[in-house]
Amino acid sequence: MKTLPRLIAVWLMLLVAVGTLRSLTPGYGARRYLDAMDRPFTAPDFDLVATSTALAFLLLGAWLTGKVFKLLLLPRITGYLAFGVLVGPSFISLVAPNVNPLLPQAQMDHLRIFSSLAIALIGLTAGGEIKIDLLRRGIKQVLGMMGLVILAVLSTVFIGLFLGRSMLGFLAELPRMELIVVCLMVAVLATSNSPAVLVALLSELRAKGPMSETSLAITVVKDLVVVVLFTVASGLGYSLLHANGETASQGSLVKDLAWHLLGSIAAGALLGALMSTVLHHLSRHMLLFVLAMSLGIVLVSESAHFETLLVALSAGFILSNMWPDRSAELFHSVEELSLPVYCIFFAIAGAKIDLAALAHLWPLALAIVVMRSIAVWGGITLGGRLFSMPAPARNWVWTAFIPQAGIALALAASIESLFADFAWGVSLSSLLLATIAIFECFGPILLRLGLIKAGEATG
Amino acid sequence: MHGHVPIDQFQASAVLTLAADEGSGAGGLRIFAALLVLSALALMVTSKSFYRFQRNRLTARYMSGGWLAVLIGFLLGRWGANVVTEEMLLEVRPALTFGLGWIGAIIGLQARSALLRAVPTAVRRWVFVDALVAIVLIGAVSVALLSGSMRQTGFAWWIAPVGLLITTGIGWAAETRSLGEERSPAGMHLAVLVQAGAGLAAMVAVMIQGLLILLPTRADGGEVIISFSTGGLRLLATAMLAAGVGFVGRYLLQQAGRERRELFVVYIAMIALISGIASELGVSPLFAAMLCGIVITNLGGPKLREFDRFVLRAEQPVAILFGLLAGVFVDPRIGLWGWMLIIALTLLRLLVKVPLMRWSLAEYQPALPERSPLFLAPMRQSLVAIALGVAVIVDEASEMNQELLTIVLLVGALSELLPFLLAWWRRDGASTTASKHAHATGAGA
Repeated sequence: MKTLPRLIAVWLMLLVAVGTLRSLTPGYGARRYLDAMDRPFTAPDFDLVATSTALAFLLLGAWLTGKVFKLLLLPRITGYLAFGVLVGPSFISLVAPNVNPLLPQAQMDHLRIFSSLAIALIGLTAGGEIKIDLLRRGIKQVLGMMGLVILAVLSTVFIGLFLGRSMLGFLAELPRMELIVVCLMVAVLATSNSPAVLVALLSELRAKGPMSETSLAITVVKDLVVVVLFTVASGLGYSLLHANGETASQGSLVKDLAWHLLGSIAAGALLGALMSTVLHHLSRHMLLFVLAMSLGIVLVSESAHFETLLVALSAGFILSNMWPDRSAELFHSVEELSLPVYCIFFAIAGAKIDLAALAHLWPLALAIVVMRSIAVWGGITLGGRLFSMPAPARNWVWTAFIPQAGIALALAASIESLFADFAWGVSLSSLLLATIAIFECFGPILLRLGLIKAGEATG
Repeated sequence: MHGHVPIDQFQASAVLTLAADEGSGAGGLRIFAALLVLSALALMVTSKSFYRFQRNRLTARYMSGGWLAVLIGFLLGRWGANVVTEEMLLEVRPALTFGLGWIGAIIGLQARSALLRAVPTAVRRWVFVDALVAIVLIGAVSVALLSGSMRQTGFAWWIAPVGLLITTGIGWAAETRSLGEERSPAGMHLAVLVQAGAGLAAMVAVMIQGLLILLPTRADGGEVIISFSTGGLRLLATAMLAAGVGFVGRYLLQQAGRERRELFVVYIAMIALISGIASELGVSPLFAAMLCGIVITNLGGPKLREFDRFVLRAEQPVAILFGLLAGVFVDPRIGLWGWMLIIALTLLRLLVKVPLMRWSLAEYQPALPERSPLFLAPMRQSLVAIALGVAVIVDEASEMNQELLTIVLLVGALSELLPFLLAWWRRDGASTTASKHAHATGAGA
């Protein structure tokens, strides 16, 4: 019983220590100095120097918060997110605008490399978890349930927003065509869910069973479908709103989409095969290998404009299904690395949550949250019944599709960029961020409850 | 924020990657590529297949000393293929600071009190005199040869460069196998003494550099000044930090339980915290992490022993990575002063280190093999010298520090070659004498 107060005491010590350090070492920019031979050089800015401390701070703080949350019977990743929110720039600018945040934006930017690596590792884990036998056996169920949930969410959110526009903030003032596009984009974004949260929670709770397997398989396939949907919808929306004769070429759209999706899958498969060849000759320093391969996945994805998560998923899937013996140790190392990766990834995600947007747009965001949640529950539960998913998993599997995080954030940023020349572009983006923030916060709590109720985790 | 995308540039594939690309660009990708190349090379060099190159004694020596990694790093760098540049590495400075912290922890974890007590007095005396000789002789030679090129004359400006040359001159390589050690009990005993001395000397070198770096500080105008009050405060803060991280770390490790991934979080966080805060305070991350390692290893407990093992397990890849990094930072444009320093420092190692070892271990002399190649061991530069050189660049990435690192590396590379040549010459001389003797005996018969 003494554990909780002690953990909180250490957690507070950490906050005080870093807070004191930040007040003792005021920030500075890059400076030009002379060396002893009178030759100039540039000394780095404070934020770059302080990033190593920021990494340790995030890692330890998120881990401790996760431990405290676990004792309070809450998911640990909610703890990681909460810690990020607490130390990030958004929270402090709301409660004490004159105080510097413990984790400034510049240091978060320097930590970007860890977020990219985290996505690769999460993808590898998810890909490794999906077995080809399961897909063969349950492909109908996976596709059917996925189709139903996408349809339910798309139609509910689109129709709900369209019909309730007069009560929903800035939507009331939009011309019809623009309203349609906004409703369409919000609805498409609502179809996405978070593979990262799902993988992290399954790993945290060591959940096993039909709900875990099916939800993971649906999430992975849905990730592909959402990319297609989003690309088509954004292309369509863009063409509708730029009606001065400019339209996105359908041929180029299809070619581009094919390159993006098939290219990601093919690149992942190739990297998986390459990893297997190297693994054949490798007997030690597996963690370094995992790190190198994650860097490789990020590099290939970013330079060819592939989706990192898809590339990693594909690589993990190929490795675990084609070379299960050879890759067992690799996945063991990925598992070892997973906790620090989740701590940093979700803490950064938490620090990025835009609380100002949430405070401003919460009624509209809440309306979307309610509509999406009902649609997810209805669509997936119906799918579970139609495709004979066993109880109690089919009653709780909907909770796996509630959390939103990384992909949704990327889509929101893309929407903002695509519709930047419309007055409502920023409002739409803020609304989406506010919605994602709500799902980010309560999604994992709901999913944990669902996994426990379905009898697939003990908590 | 992103700007508006013109319709003719609308690309489906770009839609999703827009957000991911934020702040990365070509520069970001090049950094990813650089890190990938370095980690892949570190994997390759530490792989079993690569061990076949160590069958030859000279290549074994260069590989175990990290010199092959340095050479590869140099070939990848600005003066070679330009795949990895110092600018890219300095962009990931926090990772370098973390690596330095790791090395510091490795060194500190060797300082278990029971282990230190087991080190014979003769070895402790050897290390002490070696450090003293380095401070006096290398210090004097460095000041004399650097004075021609230094534009700044204030004492404070001299501390870091001379300190680096002194501390990299302290100690020797711990690896003895590639020297062709004796299989006799006496030879094996000598090898243990060399290794114990190397470990102790590494601690002394890091300690001296850590203490020296505490004193100089940049004033508002950019000039280097000595501040005893700042130095004292930094020392106090470092000691408190090391003790704090050690004690809190022990509690956190207990909380982590038995799960490896939980332990992994605490291990990484401890090293990142100590090295990060140290570099923010202007303290050497090597020094701070070493102090923390000393605290941890002496606190005891099974969890902390596991931390020992975890940190030490990565010793080889970390050493290789730092060899590669050092190679990238090499700046071959050292002037005449640089070459003179290289020759002088190499000769000092050759002329002073071996007699010093024989003198220090005189009490063991009767039991030791007279012509053992292990007596050439102290000529070889310690691997820690590479980390010390890189640490100075991470602290201040000036051309001068890059040139100093180049000098340290070249002294190290030459010091590897000389014992080999001497051993070969001795063997050659011995075999010639033996054959002459045999010939004479045969003729006599």
